Amino acid sequence: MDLTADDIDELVDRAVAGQADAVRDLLGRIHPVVVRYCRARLSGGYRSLSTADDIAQEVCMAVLAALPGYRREGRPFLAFVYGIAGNKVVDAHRAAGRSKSSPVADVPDVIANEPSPEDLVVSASAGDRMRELLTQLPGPQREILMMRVGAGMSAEETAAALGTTAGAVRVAQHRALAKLRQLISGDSALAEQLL
Amino acid sequence: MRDFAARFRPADQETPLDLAQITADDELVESLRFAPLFADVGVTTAGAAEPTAGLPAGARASDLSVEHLLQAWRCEINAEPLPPPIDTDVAVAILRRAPARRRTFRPIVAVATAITALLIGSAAIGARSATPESPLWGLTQLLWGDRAESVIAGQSARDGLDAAHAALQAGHPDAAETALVRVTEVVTKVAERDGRQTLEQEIQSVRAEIEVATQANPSSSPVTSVISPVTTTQLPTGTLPPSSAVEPAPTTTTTTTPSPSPSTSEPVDPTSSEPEPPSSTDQETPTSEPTDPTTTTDTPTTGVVPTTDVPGESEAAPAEGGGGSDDIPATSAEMLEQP
Repeated sequence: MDLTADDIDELVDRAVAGQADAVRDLLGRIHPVVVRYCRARLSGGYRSLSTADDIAQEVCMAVLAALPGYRREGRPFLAFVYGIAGNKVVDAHRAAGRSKSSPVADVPDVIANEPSPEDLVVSASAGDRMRELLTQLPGPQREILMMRVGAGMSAEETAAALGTTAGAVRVAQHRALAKLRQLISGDSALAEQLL
Repeated sequence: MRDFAARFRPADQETPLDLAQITADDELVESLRFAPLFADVGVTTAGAAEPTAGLPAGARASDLSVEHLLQAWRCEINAEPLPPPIDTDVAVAILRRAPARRRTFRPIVAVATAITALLIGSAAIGARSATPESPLWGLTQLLWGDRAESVIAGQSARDGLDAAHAALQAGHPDAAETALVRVTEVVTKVAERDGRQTLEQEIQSVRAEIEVATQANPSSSPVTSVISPVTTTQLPTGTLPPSSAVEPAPTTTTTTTPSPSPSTSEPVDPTSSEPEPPSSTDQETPTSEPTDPTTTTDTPTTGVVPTTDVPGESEAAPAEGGGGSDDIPATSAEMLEQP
């Protein structure tokens, strides 16, 4: 699922022409990335992962609806998708700000082969810590970490989405990790002092 | 998004870059991308952030914890299986319903259009008053075809008139005549605002000149020298019929003189009328008749005196007599006495 490949534009053209297999192929490529990205941006707090998945679905539909206009914009396909996803996530944040409801996951009545509740709790606590640390990073670095680690995109894909170079992405992620290390060591030093 | 690189430039300055560290961090992120989910035992100890026993430096320990934090975050994101993508049929339907041509009107396009319109508009307006020498002339021919034609016609008419003048001065009235014929054809294309009136007036004056030249001696070329002092030389033709035959000089100059007011011409007329018949009959054009009597009035003072006595001095006379207006009554009295 390389989204910076040269054939992506050709795939888009065939999808716009209405070829079902091209549409399926295109969706198969962008969908996992979009879902993970939306989860990285929206997970945590009272919002469940299903909310992020809904947003991801909206993003995919919006991408499809805007696909005929993509060729004229003259920028990488990932940047086009990223622009839509960014807007949708911001919309979701605004809607969440207005919404007073607090969705609760359904009680599962089937055997789940998903991670055990213990795993989820542990990873959730680590995830909370991670999100807290991420908020202390500059916006662009946070965005790059979300794409690289959260959405699992390659440096080239991230660069295409952000309109920069892979080298710049690598430098920014290095700075982000250095900042994270600094924050963590500062925290642990504080904890040691307190103890 | 486009200025993304510019946005995080200021934050970059904090630490010096080490290529090895950058590569190491990139490898760390890459290993995280492809690491299996929930397989890493380190995840369970991630919250503690304890340095492992064998690790020598604190940096390594913090590195571990960052790695574990990121891995835990990744696991959380992928905790639930990814939902299935949109059904292909639905996707195709959405694509079909999408507006094929949605205009994304960018401000830069609007600005560019405005600037272009401004440039073309000003060029078009500027081209309206362009002459063949100016750089906008090509545009004038394109946008204001009729005006360009009129300007060109005016110019060729002007050239033809100059040629006619030159031919007259060189003593070839027939050449001047042919040039004039061409000018009269061309001048009909000249618009009023491009000086058609003055061109027509000039044509008539040149025609009168030609007629006078042909009626006089066509062979006599000495005339050319006398032409410049226009006003002075005319009188002799009117006042002295016998001398006019001898002298070619006065006849040629008559046309160029500006027509003066009719009031002054009357006193002179009686005197001039007697000798004139020979000269006036030759002239065919009606315009030349009015000019003749009028011109005589202008320069009676200078013209009369010298011509009668010494025809050769007629050139020098105008310089003196041109300015003095009070001379006129005196000379007119002389003229009356002379016949």
